Amino acid sequence: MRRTVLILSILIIGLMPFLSACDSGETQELIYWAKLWAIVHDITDADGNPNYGTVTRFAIGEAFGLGTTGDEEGDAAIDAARTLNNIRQAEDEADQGWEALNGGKHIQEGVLPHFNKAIDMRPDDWSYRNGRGIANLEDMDNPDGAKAAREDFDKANEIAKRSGKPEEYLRMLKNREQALARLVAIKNDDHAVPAKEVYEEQSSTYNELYKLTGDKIYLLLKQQADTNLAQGYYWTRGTDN
Amino acid sequence: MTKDTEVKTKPPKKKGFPFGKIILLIFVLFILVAVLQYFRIPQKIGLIKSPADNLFTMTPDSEKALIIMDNLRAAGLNTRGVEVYVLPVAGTDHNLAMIVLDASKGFSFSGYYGTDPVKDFLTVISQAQGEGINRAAVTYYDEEGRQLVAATVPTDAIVAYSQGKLTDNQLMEKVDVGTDDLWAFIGVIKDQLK
Repeated sequence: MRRTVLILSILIIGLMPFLSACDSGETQELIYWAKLWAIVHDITDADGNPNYGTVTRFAIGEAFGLGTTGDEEGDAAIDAARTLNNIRQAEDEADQGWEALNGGKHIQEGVLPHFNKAIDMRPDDWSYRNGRGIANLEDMDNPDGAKAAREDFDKANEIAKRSGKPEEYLRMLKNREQALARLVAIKNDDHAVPAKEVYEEQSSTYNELYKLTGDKIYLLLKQQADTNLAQGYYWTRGTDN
Repeated sequence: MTKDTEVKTKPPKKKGFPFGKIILLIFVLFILVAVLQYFRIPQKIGLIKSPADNLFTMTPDSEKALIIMDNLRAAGLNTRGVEVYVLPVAGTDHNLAMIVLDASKGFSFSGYYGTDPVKDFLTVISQAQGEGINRAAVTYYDEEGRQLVAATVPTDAIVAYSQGKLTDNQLMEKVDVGTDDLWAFIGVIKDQLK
């Protein structure tokens, strides 16, 4: 049975007088499609008269969880819309985390709490682990920052590999590479330098990307990161330069 | 006591519920299950995983989302208050494009410059099939940030429609809709139509 949700059925019936009375231009096309939808799903007839039998049937099906689109992904799409708030809030937290990190806010007070919240909300999203990992790399107040970062990156790797899709792992590496490059660029613009481990992570990420894609641009970028390391343009944990 | 003794006893009480009470109890349970299901209480308290929780566990694809957003702009949509999430489906190569229209963040249908928003939207989504998007969904949030309605359709139906292989009616048969807040939705639509 196709799911045609009870409340929307009632909605269409309830709104039909308003829809029929509305002649304004901008919403006319939307109204046309809404009416058509109601008709093809047998909620109303072509004149807008409600079919109460259909509505009752949908009501019982929906109330007892029997309503389905007939397609698992269709059900999930409707359901995802309902649970989308979780994703949106997590994305907002991560965005605030990136903004705080790139804006030079205090890592433990201004950056990590945002990424922690995002991870709590969506623990299987590797992008938040990448974000927190990079924040941990930059946290010079934490002597164990590099270790914490490694744990985050390892977890991100594990999540991406768990999907069983090679392109998912590649997407995760590219996300990390781009975030690291953005951080380095912002530091350079501010005439500052990143932590040593940022360059080290860049180097290993570019190396992995080169191995996976064969794209020589990653080889060149790895050499650049290695050069930065060799020239000592970085902060070292536990020192002032 | 001898066998001759007459023992006067009261008739034994019937044990258990009368039939009427059993029917009433079943009826109450029936209503209770319906209410719990309607408000999705088992999902909310974590007893049952929703279909979305099972399928949309992976990291949203921000690159594909950017492409769709660019296409929406090109189609004439004012993208203020519009968000796009591309959600990969776990265990498959499928992706859902979820387009959020959020009036609390500035979205307005009056900012639309095209003639038929539905057809223009369908065009954008048919283009997205090339990005591995096999289903699209649109959800609308009102000015108070309440999610009012969601609609979804497979992209192959949209592509068939754009190629003239499906009529308007046949396309609408493929569209499924859900909403959580009927009364708020009716209120908004009434305001829009005044």
